[in-house]
Amino acid sequence: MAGTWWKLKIGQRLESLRRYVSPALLAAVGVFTITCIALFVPPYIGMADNGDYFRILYSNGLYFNAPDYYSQYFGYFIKEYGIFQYYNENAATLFSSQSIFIKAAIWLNQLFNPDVFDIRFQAAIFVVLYTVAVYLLVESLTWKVASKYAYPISIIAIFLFGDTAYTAYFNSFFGESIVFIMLIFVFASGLLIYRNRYNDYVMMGVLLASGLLLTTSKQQNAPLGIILGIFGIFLMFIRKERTFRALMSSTLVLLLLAGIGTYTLIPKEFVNINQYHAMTRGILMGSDDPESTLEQFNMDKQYAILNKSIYYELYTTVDVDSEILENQFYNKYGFVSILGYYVTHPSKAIDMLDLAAKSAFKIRPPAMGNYEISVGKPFRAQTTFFSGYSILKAKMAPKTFGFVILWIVLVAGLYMPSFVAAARAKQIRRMIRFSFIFIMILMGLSGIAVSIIGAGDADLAKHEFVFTAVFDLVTFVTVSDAIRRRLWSRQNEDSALLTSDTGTHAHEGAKVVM
Amino acid sequence: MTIHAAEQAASKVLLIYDSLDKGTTREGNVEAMQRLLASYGVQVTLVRSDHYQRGQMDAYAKVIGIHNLTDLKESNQDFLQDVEQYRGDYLHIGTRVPAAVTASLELRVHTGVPGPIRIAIDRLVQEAIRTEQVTIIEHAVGTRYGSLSPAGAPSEFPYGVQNGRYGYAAYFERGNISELAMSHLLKDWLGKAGEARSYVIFKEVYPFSDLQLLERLADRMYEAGIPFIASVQPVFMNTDYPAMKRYMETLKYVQSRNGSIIANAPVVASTVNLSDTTLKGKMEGFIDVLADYGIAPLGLGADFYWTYDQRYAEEGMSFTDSVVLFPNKTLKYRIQTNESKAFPFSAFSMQPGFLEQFGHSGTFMPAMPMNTALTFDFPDTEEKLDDIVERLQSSWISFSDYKHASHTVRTPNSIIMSRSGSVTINGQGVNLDVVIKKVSSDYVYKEKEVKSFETLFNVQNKIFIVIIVLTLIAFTGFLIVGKRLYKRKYYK
Repeated sequence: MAGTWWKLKIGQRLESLRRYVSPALLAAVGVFTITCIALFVPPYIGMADNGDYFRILYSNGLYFNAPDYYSQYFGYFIKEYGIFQYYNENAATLFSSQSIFIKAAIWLNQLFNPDVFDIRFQAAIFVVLYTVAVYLLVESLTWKVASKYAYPISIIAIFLFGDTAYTAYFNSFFGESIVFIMLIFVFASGLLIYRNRYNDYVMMGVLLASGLLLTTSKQQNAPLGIILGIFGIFLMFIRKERTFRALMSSTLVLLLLAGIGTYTLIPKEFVNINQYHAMTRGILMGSDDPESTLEQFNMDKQYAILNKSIYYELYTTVDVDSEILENQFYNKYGFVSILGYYVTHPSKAIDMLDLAAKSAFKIRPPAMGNYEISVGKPFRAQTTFFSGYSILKAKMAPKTFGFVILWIVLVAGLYMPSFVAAARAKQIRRMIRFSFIFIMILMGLSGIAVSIIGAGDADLAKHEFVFTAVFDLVTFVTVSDAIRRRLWSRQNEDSALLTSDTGTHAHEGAKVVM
Repeated sequence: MTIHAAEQAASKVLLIYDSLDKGTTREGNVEAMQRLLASYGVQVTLVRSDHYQRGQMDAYAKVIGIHNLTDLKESNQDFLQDVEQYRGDYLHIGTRVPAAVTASLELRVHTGVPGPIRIAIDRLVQEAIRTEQVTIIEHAVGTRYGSLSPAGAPSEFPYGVQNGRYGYAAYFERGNISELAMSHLLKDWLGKAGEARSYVIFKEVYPFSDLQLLERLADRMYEAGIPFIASVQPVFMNTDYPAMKRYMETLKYVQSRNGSIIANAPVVASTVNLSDTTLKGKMEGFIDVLADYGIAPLGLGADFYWTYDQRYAEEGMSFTDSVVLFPNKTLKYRIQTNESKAFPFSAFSMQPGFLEQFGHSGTFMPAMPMNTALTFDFPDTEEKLDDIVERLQSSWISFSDYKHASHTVRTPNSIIMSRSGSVTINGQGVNLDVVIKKVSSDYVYKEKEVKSFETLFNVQNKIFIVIIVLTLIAFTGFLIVGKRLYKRKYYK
């Protein structure tokens, strides 16, 4: 009796809390506050350059102005950069959606200081977007859901999205920050369409914008646009109006084209270091006979000597950008031929996948430090501030590809019944939830495949970012759906407000299910 | 002061400069001076004049001052005063000549002479050198070196002059004949006797270079009677692979065809990790691998800045007494120092294009005052190779055999020496009668993991697979039967 009384009491309290702070708002404010403390209160948390900044920085009109910049590679986060005051010969060497954010940050920065760029302006833009993204995702899971379920979901969201392993990327020039934010937007827009929470046209816009920004952020993400374009097909049928269908099909085609375009139009982004590692830390390393493998690629078998070598070694035989490698090594293989090799040698592919799984659960790449040199921490020191989730994940997750498969089977198994039921009932909108979970999983898998094909086992923790992010997002949604009892049953309550599949809104009068 | 210490002090030079003068034609002349001094085996301490401390030059027997700036007064009065009272040897280059030098050499100069200029030294001449305004020595007493005059003008003035403790040259820039003229002046001023030699060196030799082409190069050079050096890229891993054996077979063959092998410095990553101290072990390991295979590495080829880095000098160069120093490409210091490491044998690397700028009279190319190494990148095609060999054959330089000089390479496991042409590894003469052996590709790249109870698990796996398949079939059967029963019961 007493237990029931307490439950009732807590329930009432939560309901009264809801009048002031919705669960989504609570999650967004929580994540915003923690992230601001991490990024904007000393000691500032960010990420050290691993040598990748140069290209994106110089092409956007910034330069390294710290005199000892190179000695801080990998070790320390640097927050200030110079802004070119004269003609920049490196301008526009590559297009990436990342440039849009850097340009915006520079513009914002120049309102205050025209000479020195402070990376925290970029972080500020990202934090705002991130907060909105988290709000939308949590809203898709907690809207019209009983408070006793909704608030625990918000708390989990804060624990996961406030983790500095993710947010430290905002204070860096790595594309991962955009990838993560846009992945959340894409997923949230899909789930909100499923919940019929907001106007479908607005959500379509969010999906298009975030999908485009995600796909064009780096060449490795080209498959993401293609996956979205193809498997988003169900979205076209959620409404019957011709305008909607025409617009949605254009959206999907645009995403598909963006994927293809990203792959073909940014050729040199598959940089030498990655191409070098794809061979030495991938194909050669996995091969039982590197010499015959090299001959299959029509290369000099003497390159077997580079087997397992890492570019980042301090002292090496050959410069990764040297003429000899340009002419006789990189010319002989590319993304397609490596993919072909793994397809024809599945056992090697499985070995590499297992290797990949070892790093697939690390959010924070172990190679880069988080603090500025002035903080006085050792070289490559990493923060533990609000990192409970990432540390737990890196320690606890079983690091085999078998686990990844089990996870996929589990998630698919949990959602499949509701998907089949929706398909039978011809309720296309209800099919959207699993479609998006499926899309996300495919994106994650493509992240693993691209990182192995693209750079072997080198820098796996960073290259596999898409997978690790997708794993967290999908697991978060699954756990939330389990909490609010919507995995395979009562799905009709999720979209109970739909009178038909035309998507007419009937928000008013909907009852909160207790 | 002990005799040894006195000798050391005598071979140490303090090099003071006022500015690197970047963006002018004088940019790089300080570095050129450093390279010249290195080729004479001199240990150099480099100081910018505004960092000069009073009395600092007293610790040195020789001081060189380079003054590039024309429009500024000497900022460091300490330096100016010290020069006037200095008791050692002083060589002045550029503007603002100290009074002691002017007095001793009875100098009379004419400043502000516009370029282009013509410089000649020892039968070599470079006409029309484009430069900014220069100073001309109208009168001086002492030994004169070369000549410098406005291009096209008949009168010739000395390029440089030396008298007793003092030396002076007004003009010195990188990449032209003034480097050669300066090297003559330096040789006498430093008091270096001994004959210098010229060598040919090929760098950019990798384990995956075209090894057949390398073999052909050795043959062609041997037939042409030109001894040469191959500066080979070091390998720190997979040294037991067949690929490495093929590399070494070819190097051994090169050695037998009058080629000398030296280890090239490794490629250095731009990442700076000061705690890494693996360089010494890696370089010595590579030397040992070569020595064990019967190849005698007789020195090191490295970018010149390595001698001004404490880490590289101590860990990467201390195993040898002989180096060939190449012009710097990209500076990637670990622990930069202003004090250079000097070597008993050091050769000044010259690009082929350097000599081609000069005209010369007489049949033979005049000998260089310091050891020089004409440096080529190992070619990647047969045409380029033929072209290089032909150029060498037709050049008038007589090239020496590197092995004829004394070189020692020492690691904890091996001592490699050359004395007057005979090369030994750990006291054993090197076998020069070599036929390249074919290296088989058979090699176990991956150790098979030792597995226990392998058969037991295999059998168990098979049994389980059968059981699971049978269960699945039975389960499907039950499902179908169940569905029918269900339908029969409720859908009637």
